[in-house]
Amino acid sequence: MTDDFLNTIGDSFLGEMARGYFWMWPLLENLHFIGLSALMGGLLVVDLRVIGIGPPKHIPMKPALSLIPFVMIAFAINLITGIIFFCGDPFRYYYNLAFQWKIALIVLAGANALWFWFGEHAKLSALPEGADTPISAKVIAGISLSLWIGVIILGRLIPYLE
Amino acid sequence: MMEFFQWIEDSGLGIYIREDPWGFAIALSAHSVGMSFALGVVMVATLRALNVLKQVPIVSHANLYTVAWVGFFINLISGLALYASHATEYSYQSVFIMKLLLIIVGGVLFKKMIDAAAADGDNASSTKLFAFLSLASWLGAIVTGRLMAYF
Repeated sequence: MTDDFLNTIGDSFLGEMARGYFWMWPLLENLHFIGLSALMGGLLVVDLRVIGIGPPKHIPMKPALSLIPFVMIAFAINLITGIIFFCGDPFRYYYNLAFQWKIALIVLAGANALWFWFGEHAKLSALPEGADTPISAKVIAGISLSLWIGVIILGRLIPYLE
Repeated sequence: MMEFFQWIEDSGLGIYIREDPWGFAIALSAHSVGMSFALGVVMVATLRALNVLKQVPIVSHANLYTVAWVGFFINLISGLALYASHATEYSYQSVFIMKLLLIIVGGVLFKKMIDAAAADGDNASSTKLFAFLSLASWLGAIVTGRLMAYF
């Protein structure tokens, strides 16, 4: 059942495309690396500002929060390139322990981001400049950075856990 | 020269990273996290200078550069470990040599961008030029680094 599904994905247009050109895989890898750097760059500004540690605590809150769409675009680049990787070699990824954990952490990071967006974003935007951020927002931001660092590490470990 | 590279490769660090089942994987993982820190800050700062990211008042602020340095040092250390494990091979690999040059050029141009922003302002054409060239060099460093697995 699952294997039939994986076969279908592998035979799909995206799967054929991923394997069809010798330059396609390295091109997608490069985009994925650039996307992950952009995602982390934006997140570092937002999350370190919210946590209020290190030099980024001096960045004003509103401009820091304005990087959230940039983070979303970076995530979209990596979601798209990631889906094409998966279609190109579905059995390799589906049964890979590092990949399974990576996806689990991305889902958790997504839930955490929703919590941030609906629970904290308005409060933070309304915060007077120089005021300390709520502890709940600091916790969410810390979880966010930890999860995404975990995602990067697990992604890099995919070739070593198969 | 080859004797020197061989000596590095036969060092304790070189042997450990090459032969321990987790040595190379751990060093590579650290290298990708460090990359995301350093390149992430470079991308945010240069894209701000190029007006792609409009609101972030970064170019004239040093607040983020500490984070970029943390990433850079993670990658200097993990990079040296990775290099030691295959020194005789990497030393003659053209994409690796290009990568090192692009990192040096990208770093110098990034400093030039900061100096131009301080002297001429965030929106000066000199700031934009250095931002563009620095970003291009750093993206080139990512690409040549990734292509080490292919060439």
